[in-house]
Amino acid sequence: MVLHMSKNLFTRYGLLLIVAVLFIVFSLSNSAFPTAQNISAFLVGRVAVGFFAIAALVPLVAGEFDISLGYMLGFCIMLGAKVGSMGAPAWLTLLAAVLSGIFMGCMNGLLTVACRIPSTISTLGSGMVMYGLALGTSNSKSINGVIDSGAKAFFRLKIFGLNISIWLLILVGVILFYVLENTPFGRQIYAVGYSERVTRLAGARTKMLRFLSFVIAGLIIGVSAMIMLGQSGNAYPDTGPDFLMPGLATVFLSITYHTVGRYNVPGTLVALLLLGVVFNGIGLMGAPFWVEDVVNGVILLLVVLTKSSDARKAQTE
Amino acid sequence: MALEATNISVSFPGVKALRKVSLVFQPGRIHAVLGANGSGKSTLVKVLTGIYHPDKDCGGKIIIDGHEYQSIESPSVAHEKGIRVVHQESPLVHTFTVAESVALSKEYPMKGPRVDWKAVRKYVQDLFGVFEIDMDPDTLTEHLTAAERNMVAMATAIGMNRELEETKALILDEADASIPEAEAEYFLKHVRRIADMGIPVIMVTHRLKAARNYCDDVSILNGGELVYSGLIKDTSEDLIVSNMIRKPAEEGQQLSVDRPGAALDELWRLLGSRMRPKKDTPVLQIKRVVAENLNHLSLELKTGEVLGIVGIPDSGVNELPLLLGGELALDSGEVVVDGKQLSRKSSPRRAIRAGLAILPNDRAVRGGIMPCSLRENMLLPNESRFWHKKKLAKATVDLCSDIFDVNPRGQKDMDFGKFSGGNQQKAIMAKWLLPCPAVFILNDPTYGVDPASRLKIFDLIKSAAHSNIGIIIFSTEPEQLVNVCTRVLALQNGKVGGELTVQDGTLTREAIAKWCYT
Repeated sequence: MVLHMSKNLFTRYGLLLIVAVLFIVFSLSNSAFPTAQNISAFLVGRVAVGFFAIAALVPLVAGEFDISLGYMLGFCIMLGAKVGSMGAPAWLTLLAAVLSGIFMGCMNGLLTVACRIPSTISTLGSGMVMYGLALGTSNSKSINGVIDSGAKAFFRLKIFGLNISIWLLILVGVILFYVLENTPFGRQIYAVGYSERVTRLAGARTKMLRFLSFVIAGLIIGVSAMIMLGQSGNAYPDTGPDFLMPGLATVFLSITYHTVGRYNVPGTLVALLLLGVVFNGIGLMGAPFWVEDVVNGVILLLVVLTKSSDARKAQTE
Repeated sequence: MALEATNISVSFPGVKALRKVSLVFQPGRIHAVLGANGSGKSTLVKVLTGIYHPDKDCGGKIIIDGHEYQSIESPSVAHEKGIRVVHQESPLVHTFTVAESVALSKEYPMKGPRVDWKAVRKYVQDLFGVFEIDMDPDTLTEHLTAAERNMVAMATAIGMNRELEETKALILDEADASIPEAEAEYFLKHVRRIADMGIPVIMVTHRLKAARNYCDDVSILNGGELVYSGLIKDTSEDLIVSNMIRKPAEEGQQLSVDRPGAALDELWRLLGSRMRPKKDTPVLQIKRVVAENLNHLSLELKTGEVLGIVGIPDSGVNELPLLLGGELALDSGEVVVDGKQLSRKSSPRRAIRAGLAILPNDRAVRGGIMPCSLRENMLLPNESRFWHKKKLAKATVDLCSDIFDVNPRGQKDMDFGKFSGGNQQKAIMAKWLLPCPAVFILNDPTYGVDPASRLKIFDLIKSAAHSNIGIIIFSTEPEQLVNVCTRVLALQNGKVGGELTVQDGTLTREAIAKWCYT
């Protein structure tokens, strides 16, 4: 289900069109919507889910499912904060957050690939362990003020009016897009997701590819934890699990965009916008807080339903 | 209580799978149905079990115990009429006990709201009593031998008491295929006991020897026609083999190799590599290799040679391609490719690095990735060569499509699964000839391939041989090897049992067929 040039543009880029239409509709119906302030705030609010979705994308491409990522995010933030609270400088605090993500990604990879535990089970187990450890580290309380104001200022920097975290998300997205679509590694990782057997017979190191998919996911979660910790300087024991559902919804929507039928980076970013625009728009109309989840779910089902069954079957089965 | 099929014809678009086949299966007798792949055996079984239907205008009839039917509508109707089938893959669940597996295909006796497991065990014990199977119903099915599994499957298919009375015929659809030679006799004696209950047993099999020892009647299908039917004791192995061989006319025209190898050379030059030099030393040496069924096998292959390897299933012919592809480790012995010894720790990656390329059998599972594009499939083993070279990648795929005649052309982004079997196979050949291997091993290259593609594949094999690649072909349709091979080795008990060559005139269709069926 790859890029068919013959396929009409709507099939491939319909999702972006929907975003544009919704944007116009909300702009016309509410003057508070198209302001620079609102848009900037709404984009910043999407960054954490965006990182989560891009992290979850990589194992999915390789045919694996990592459900520990939500807990991992909380764990990385908490571990970084703990290091910070012991008096470490900001750079070490933030580095600790990134490294703990890479380390937990390696653990997930080892459990799944070397110990041959199906990834849904191995990451469920590791996720619960990380959740417990995060609570234990903080004694179920939040850790505050571990980042000095200089580092905080960096993460609050604005470039062309947009917060630096948005640019970092775009940067990570572009790098991952390049790696997945244009390098032999990316080609092989997609191939592993479809048929490990054929890919192994073609001489690729399929175990290494699957292992690395978990490590990359861990790295991206680590970077996300670094940004969240850097912005606020605070760590809360219940951060993380909330991102699982909206993050996964975003990745699954990506199969309806760009390379239809495959999880992909551009699709993930557009889906991120779609869910964000809808939530922000109806939020401004005065809808209550619980509407976000309902809307996320309905959009996922609707968009995937309207796509051809081909596209649906391709990578979700 | 006989089962009879008269004048059965079955057509599919473009093919006549069965032509006016008439057969009678008598109660109490084991009737072997033999034939090469594609002879119509499985079509016949599917007609008798209600999966396929005879052509409307052929006037065919199926007569079960005196009742005439135009066709059997569905498998459940076939079961109702008393036709029982055991397929190659027996339907036992691995992690269940024998009793649980049997109960799965029967109704569960209930005791109030829960399954009465005592009654299940009692039923299974009684059932095994009827069929003289000595087995604890609480054994896990994964601990059974292949023969035992099939015995349980047969007992389950037939049942007892009323079910047994209703049974009009038992069809064993290559059920013995997974049973190793050593257990085959034990299994067939058991089949005999079932026939002795007065049931007609239809045994579709590849085992010629077993058929000759344990069956009463034999029918041979060839190209959809019944070419022989009679008592097994009136036949000889030679008679059976000569009836099973595909008719030469079907193989068609002579091959046309125009400037052999030139096109492949052009391809390799595009990728910056060149044709391998012709050498007098062997390009592949297998020395005293031991692995599973292979028992001190030794052989040599020269550059430019096309070597066919045949044998019955237990001869090691199934293991050799896996061994060469790095999927099976060797217990002892060595494999030397182009003068370099293959590392003992084997993997497909190491095999490819050493210069071995394998076109695997089972195209859908091991050959290609169906939801990926033609381009991705063709370049999969060589992606690193095409990093940042989109133009080269496109030129390579286009040139490959031309040389290997992959149709439709210019659809490099189309899903692989949408190409026909023949075109898929040609694309997979391109995938493995691209890197210019020292040895190209083809495992059943013409399986499920249309006749035109089959000719093209043979053409390409000859071109590759002309370009100094050593070629080994395994085939489930071995008679066709005569068209392309310069030498054929027959494996027997894990080592080379016979050699047929073009030079001394021993390479004939009959000789090859004899080695693979007996």
